Parts: sequence; structure tokens; C-alpha cells
Amino acid sequence: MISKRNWKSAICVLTLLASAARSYILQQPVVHVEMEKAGMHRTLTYKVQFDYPLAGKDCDYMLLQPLPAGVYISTDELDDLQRLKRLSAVYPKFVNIEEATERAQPFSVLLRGVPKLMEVVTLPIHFRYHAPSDKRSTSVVAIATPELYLNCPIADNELVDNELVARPDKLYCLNAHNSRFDENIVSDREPTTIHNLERCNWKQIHVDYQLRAPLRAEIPVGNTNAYAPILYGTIILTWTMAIWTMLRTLSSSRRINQRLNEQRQLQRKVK
Amino acid sequence: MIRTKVPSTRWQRFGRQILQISFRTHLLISAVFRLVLICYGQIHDSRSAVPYTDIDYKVVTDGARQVLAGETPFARHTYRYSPIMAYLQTLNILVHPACGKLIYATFDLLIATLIYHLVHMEIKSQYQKTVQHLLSKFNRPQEPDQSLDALDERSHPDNIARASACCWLYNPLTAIISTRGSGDCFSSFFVILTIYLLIRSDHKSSHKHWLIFTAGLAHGLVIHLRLYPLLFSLAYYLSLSSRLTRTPLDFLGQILRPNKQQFCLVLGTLLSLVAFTWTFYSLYGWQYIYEAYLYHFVRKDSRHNFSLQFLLQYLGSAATVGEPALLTKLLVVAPQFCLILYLSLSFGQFRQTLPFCIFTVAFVIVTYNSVVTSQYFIWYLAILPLCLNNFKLLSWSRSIFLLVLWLLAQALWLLPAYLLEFKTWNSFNWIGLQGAVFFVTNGYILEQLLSHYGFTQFKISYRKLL
Repeated sequence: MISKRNWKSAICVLTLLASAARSYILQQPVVHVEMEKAGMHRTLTYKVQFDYPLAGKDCDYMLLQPLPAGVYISTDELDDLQRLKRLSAVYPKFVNIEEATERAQPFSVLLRGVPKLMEVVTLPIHFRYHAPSDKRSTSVVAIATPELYLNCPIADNELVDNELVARPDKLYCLNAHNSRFDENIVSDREPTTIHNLERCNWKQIHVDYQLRAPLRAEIPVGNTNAYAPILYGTIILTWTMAIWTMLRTLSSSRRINQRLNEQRQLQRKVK
Repeated sequence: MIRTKVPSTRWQRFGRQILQISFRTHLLISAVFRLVLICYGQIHDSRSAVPYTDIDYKVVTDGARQVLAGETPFARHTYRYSPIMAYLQTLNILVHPACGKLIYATFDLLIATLIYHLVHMEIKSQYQKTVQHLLSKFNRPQEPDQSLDALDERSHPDNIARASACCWLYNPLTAIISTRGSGDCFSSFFVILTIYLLIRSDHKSSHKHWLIFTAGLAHGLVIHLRLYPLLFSLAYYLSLSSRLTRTPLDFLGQILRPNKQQFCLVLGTLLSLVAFTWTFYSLYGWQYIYEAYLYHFVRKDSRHNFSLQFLLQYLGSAATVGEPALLTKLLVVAPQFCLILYLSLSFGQFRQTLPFCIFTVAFVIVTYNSVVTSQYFIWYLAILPLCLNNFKLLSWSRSIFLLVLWLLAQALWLLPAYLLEFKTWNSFNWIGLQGAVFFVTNGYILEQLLSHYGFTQFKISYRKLL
């Protein structure tokens, strides 16, 4: 027999536990983002921290990293990293790596993971060349902080408190083809399948971002004022080298051809 | 003094011992070396994020996957090669991912075999012609000396051919390029095969025209595979002429009135080029024409490279600069074509000088190209071993000096390129300057090779001969 007093204490403990769990859920995930200081080829390093009870739950998260036109990824490089299980990501099938910034388009990369107390994710990125200018010698490329999306099994949806969700009234669908999230708009045409429900059960989560330094890169830019001298210099140099080569070797080539011609005449005589 | 002398003697002895090994053994050692590199590549790629395998190998393998699925290989983005490359690499999907590398490594060995036979044939024939020439001076032209007794040991065709083939077989650059899965040695093989067949036709009176026609077929195929060998065509054509071209009128006559041999070459080339192009056009449509041919003409990649024209192209990409006039474009590209014409006329008129001519033309194509990367160097490095015997006028010290100069110019270019790529320094002008230094260095090396070229570089014992 459990006494009335014991019942009260049990209820008290359960209430405390529930409130503790609730306070855990309220802890925003923390994302540290870092980027190397120099170079056209850098790595974005994310340290993603979740707290209990989300950590270890059967949920998935996606970090949506928007990349401006001045940045590209090598899809072959990311394919290799995925093959080696060093990266799990969704990214465009083809990114033109030869395009200059001015003609390129921004896009996003989605980094996939499961909530853990701490996880380190890296994304190698490359900066594009910028068109030369007569006004500036560098161009600043700023990379926005990523967005965090969470997808928990429908049964565990209550794990994510509304206060954590950026837009509690909205759910998002994963658009893997375009590597982005689309707002879930219920359509009569799409059948309600488990797959569709899971695909469109993503919530955008508030994140506590911690940046050591702003995600900015100063990319060098050539000086267009130098174009005319470089053009004339190139023309003069190529012509000079070509003419010099011809003048220096003309006599030896004539001599060789003369000797070979003599040999040919002799061969004909012998035959 | 003694200390410096001992190692040099050892080195000489070592070199001599290496050259005494039979050509088959060299091939076997090289095959094992390449197999080890392929195995290393597989292990490396399974562990490292920086792959050993060439990126193009993956692209072509993806193209092969598309072919096996009944699709066009051009469905794979950045597939800009002949479909033949994808067909070659279908074994990567069907058998093992390294099959393509094995095929390219085999072509590497086949190149060495061709080099061996070609150099052997060239020296032997040149020796016989020189002997005839010498005997004619002693009024004994009727004694064609078929034996090679009068040659000193170092000039013996067997030794020089083996040394030339070894230069290819043991060149780490070429071995690494083929085992990384680059198809450059595949196309280089057909360039050397064309030269081989043309020279062989000079020595064989029977089936001469068939040999030339086959050379044309090989040439057409290699133009289909890579566009640049198209610029070798004039030299091939002139090497089949029966008289020396001295004036522009002679030249015009050569072009307008080809002899039977020249006609066979042109026919073979056109037949093969049109057949391949038409077949793949009917299979894959306009996309094939655009990706495999036209894209290379319209491509604009102004990222840093060794070319003299890099800075010009980069600065010209600004919207404020605008498209240069046709005359300006002509002025930039004309020196390259003038030099190719000059070299084809100077060294392409005899089959004895044809390998050297093709080497120098390839050298000019790369040096004056609007984009130059390290991989392009293989275009002329593959033909270089064919001409080693022709550089005997160059002393060892001068040869080493030229090699060091070539490497130094690249290293000097690498410094500003590194500072731009990895430190984000604004070193565009510096890269442009080093590009010019590399260009001038290459120009100087070309001039030295042309000035020191000799086609009868062997010692003949008059006592034995007469």
C-alpha cells in the first residue's frame, strides 16, 4: 500500500522532472561557426551543440548554409567526402566552378546530422574570382550564418517547444533537388503519405550563434587600368619572341634542309 | 677531389648497368611500377579526402555509366571528351573501378614500345643514309653498308632507342599522370603512331601508301580525341613531299597539287575524322558537337594559369573593358601560327626531322596557348624522347641548365600563385609577370633546342667504314 504522503511526493518529483525536461528543451541549440582567415579555398567549421532531451533522440537536423554568388563548392570534392563518410549533405548536382562572381548565382548547402551533445561538421568552400575594377583592389564576400531545421518523428513532435521554433505556424518541406526548404503548403494534388509527412515536417529552430570572427573574406581584384599596357606588352612580347626565334634559327634550319636534300638526291641516284 | 670523383664513376657505372638491361625487362619493371602506383591510388583514395585519382577520370567514369544505361555520356555535367573515352572506361563499371587506369598505363607502355622502335628505325636509317653520303664523297656510292659495325657503341641504335624509351618509362610525371587516370597518354599514343607510320613508309617500298593512309586514319582519330594535333597536319603533309619548298610559290604548289602520298594522308585523315564525328553526331546529336569541339573555342576561364595571356584575359573579363577588336585578337594569336608555319616549313619537309618538328610545334602550341596548365606539358613531353638523339650538340651542363631554368621558371610562377590562392594576396600583376618570365624562358629553351639540333649525331669510324 502506498500512503497518501508517498503519492504526494511522487507527484512532486514527477512535476519537478517534467519542469526540468521542459527547461532543457528551452535551451537553444548552439552553433559555433568558424572560417579560415585567408585563401581562396577555405573550410567552414560548425560545432553544433544540442542539449537534453533532444540530444540522442531520433530526430534529424539540417543546417542550411546560404552561399553567395562569390562562393562555390566542388561537387566532386563533396562527393568524395560523402563517400568517405566525412560529410552528409545535400547540395546542387552541378555548380559551375569556372564562372566569375558577376555571372554566378547564390545557392545553399544543407548539412545533415542527428542531434548530439556536440558534433563538428566541416564544409570546404572556394571563392570565385571577381571581375577586375578600376576603383577597388579587394571585394568583400560576406557569408550569412546558417539556419537550423529540425525534424522529429511525428510522435515526438512535442519534444520541440514552440518557443524554440522560429515560425511555430509553419512547417517546411525538404527540397533536395534545389537544396533548400520550401514552406509546406497543403496541396490537394499531393497524397498524404508517411514519406510526404516526414519530408514536410521540418521546423526552423532558433539558434544561439557563436562566431569568433565575422564570416567575411576579402577577395583580391585586378586593376582594369592595367589592361591597355598589358595588351600592348603581350602583343609586343609574343611577336618579339616569335621573330627572334625565327631569325636565330633560320640559317641552321636552311643548312639542315640543304643536307637532307642532298641526301635525297643521292638516294634517288642510288635507286 | 677524390670524393667527388668516386660517386660520379659510380653513377656512370650505374647508368651503364641500367642501360644494359634488356628493353623487355625495362617494360616489365615499368609495368610493375605502374601497377604499384594504381594500387597505391586505390588505397589512398579510400582514406584521403584529397584524391590521387584525376577528376577527369571520375567524369569519364560517370559518362561510361550513362552509356551503359543507354544514355548519352554528355548527360554528365562537364563531360567534354570524345565518347570513345567513356566506352574505354565502361570496364570501370562492369569489372573494377581501376580498369581504366590499367588501360591508360598499358598505353603508357605502348608509347615506350613505339618510341623504342621509332628511334631504332630512325638511327639505323639515318646511319645508312649518312654512310652512303660519305661513301659518295669517296666515289664509292654503290656500296650500301647495311651493317652497323662502323658505329661506336654509344651511338648504336639499340642503346639510344633503349635510353629514349627509358626516358619515357621512368619519367615519374608521365607514370603518375597515366595511373591517376588521365587519358592524355591515350591520345599521345596516336600522335606517335602517326609519326611512326609516316617514317616507316619512308623505309618500306611495299605497302607504302597503305602505311600513309593508316597514318592519316590515326591522325584523324587523334584530332577527334583532342583538337590540338590538327596543327601538326601541315608538317605531316610537307614531310611527304618529294621536293624542297623554298619559295611561297613552291608552297602553294605543294598545297594545290598534292602527290600520291600526300593525297593518301589527307584522305585517311578526312575519312577517319568525318567517320568518327558523323557517327557520334548521329548518336548524340548537337550536344556532342558543342561539348567535344565548340566548347573549347568559346570557353572563357580566366583563373590563374601559366599562360602569358592569363592577365590579359582576366583584366579583359571586366564589363568596362569590352570585347577586343578582331584585329587585336589576331595580333595576339598570329605569332603562334607564324611560328607553327615556320617550324613546319623548316623541319617538317623531311621525315628524318619530322619527330623534332612535331615536338617543337607541340612546344609552341603549349607555350603560346591562352590557357596553360601542367597537364599540357605532356603534349610535348611525350614526343621529347623521340628527339633525344638529336640534342647531342647540347652539352650535359647546358642540358641540365635548360632543365633547371624550366623548373625554376615554374617555381617562380608558383610563388605568387600560392600567395593569391592560399593567402588572398593581390598578386595578379605578379602572376602576370611570372607568366611572362615563363614564356620568355620557354622561348629561350626552344631557340636553344632549335640551334643545337642535329640529325646525324653519331660517331662513325672511317677506318671500319672504308
